[in-house]
Amino acid sequence: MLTDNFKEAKTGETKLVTHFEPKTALLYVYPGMDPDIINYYLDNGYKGIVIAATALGHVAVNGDKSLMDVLKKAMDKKIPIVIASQTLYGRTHPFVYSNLRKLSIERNCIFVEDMLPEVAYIKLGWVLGKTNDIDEIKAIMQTNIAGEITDRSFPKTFLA
Amino acid sequence: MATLDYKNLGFKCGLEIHQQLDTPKLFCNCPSLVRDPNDPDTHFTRRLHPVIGETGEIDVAAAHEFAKGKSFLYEAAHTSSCLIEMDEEPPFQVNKEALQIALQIAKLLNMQIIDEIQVMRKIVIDGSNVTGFQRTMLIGVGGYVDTPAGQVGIPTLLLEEEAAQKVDTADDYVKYKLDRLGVALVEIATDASIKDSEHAKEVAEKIGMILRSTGKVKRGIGSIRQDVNISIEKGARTEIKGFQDLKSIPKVINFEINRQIDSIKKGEKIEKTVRKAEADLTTSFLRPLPGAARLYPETDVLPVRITKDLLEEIEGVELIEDKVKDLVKKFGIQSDLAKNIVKEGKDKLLEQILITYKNLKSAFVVDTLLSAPKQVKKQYNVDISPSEDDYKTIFDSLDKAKIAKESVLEILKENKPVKDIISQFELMSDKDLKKKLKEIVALNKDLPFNALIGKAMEKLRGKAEGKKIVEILKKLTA
Repeated sequence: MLTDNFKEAKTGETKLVTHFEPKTALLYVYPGMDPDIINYYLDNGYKGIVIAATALGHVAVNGDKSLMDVLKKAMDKKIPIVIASQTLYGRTHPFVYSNLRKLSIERNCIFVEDMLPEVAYIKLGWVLGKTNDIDEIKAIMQTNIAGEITDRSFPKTFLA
Repeated sequence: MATLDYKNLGFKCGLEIHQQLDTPKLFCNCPSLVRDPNDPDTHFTRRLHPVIGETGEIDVAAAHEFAKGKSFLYEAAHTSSCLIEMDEEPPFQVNKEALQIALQIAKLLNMQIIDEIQVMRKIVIDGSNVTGFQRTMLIGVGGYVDTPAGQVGIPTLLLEEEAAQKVDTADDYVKYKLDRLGVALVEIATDASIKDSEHAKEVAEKIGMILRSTGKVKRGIGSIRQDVNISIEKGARTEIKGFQDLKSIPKVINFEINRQIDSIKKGEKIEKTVRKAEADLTTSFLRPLPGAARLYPETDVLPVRITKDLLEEIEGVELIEDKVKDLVKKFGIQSDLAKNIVKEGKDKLLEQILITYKNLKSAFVVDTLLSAPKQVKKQYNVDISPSEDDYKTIFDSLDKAKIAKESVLEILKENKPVKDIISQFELMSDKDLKKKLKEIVALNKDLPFNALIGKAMEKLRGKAEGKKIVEILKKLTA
């Protein structure tokens, strides 16, 4: 068996839950990225943004390209900012460095462990279709529903 | 060996007790399989270099290990280790369940609980921690335990990570298995007010009892370890590790005191050392005692605020010794048997049964709860582990005289839910019994009386008491 991280098929009636928020964004950060890019989403009615951050969940938090100001604006507007990682085999961590704590503690960004950015995008759109309550969004995003978050990482996970 | 005058020798003794907790690992979600039976599927090699601690110096014990110049080989199975044990992924936050148990223990030891818990790194570079340090945090201070020989202070309670298990050692490497690394461990230190070697054993027993009372500590070999720190005037502080059982503590301590007395007489200088308790109760040198230079803060893990809410969530614990006393007092059960009942976690069940079913003798219930599985194994070679409901169903029927005492093992040996099968073992009514016996007598007219009894007993085993069968048969054949 390749993986045991899946949900077994259930018998019984299947109900399709189709709610999805189209004003959901997925953003790939890179060195020198203009913070105004996030302003675009915030000023154009977007309800939530997934950031594919680097490694443990980093974005620029110092200097003139810092995202701290636009993330403050998002936090004040109660727009969820979800942090996933560009390094697909790894896991984000909200506390290990002070720059990460700036995001998780000072800006209430939602770190989603080892969830893939694309999965986080679909999940966030689905959650936003259901609720706009920031605490509820955070709780659902950080709870494993269908194997999108694993609770342990292994050396063999890489290229397995 | 001459009797030792502990007071005049300036005897000082304190204990350090390490107990593994029965929770997931402290900083990841791996299960605490202390001895993982699965084959290792990951192998890697590391070397470690000492760094200065908070005091700006390299610790003497760390330098001692580094001087050996060894490589460290590690093997791990994914069933018990993840990237965190390999130090390839940062640690998660402190496991909440382990923290709660540590807080519970701190309360039982009458301690003041620290209101913000800071995880620290203790430099350990013998390879037993892949990171080169052990994560440890101070949970409580200023506690005590009462013993018959007096109160003994408990200055500190730490919650920390267990080290990896050494599996092989050679000139140029040491090999470790990672299954045990990261298992949650509490370390309890007493002050030096232990009066003599016998008292040291009593204090260790008392603390062990308190730990087991939580019901959430690991059991079995290696799950609890006692280190003894002793010194005498003009001697030096010695830490003795690796006691196989508590009974050996007094003898090992006395041997070490005599060793130091001999050295003092010969004018030798005694170094501060860590020594191992050997099987012959003597001790041997392990390493120099580490100093204060080996601690610095862990920055990967957030400090934990111990809020009122968190403390209120901590459940109260009844001590094993109080449970035993309670059973003895309430039901007149022998203290040894009461101890075993508590040890097997059957005290609540016993109490429920004895309160609900007044017709039963407590000695019979205790004996059944303690020995029925063993007897079934012996007589029928069947392994059973009856549920509480199984026992309750049986005692309910016994209380109402619906089944015979003799049927208890027969019911249990079926190894099925007792509810489903107990009706087959119910006693017959007197009327039905007479009818059945009449049939048997009619079919076996030529049999001698004793053989007739045998026949009837065989047919009616568990359905009627033997005495009654004989009585009725006597009347029928008279």
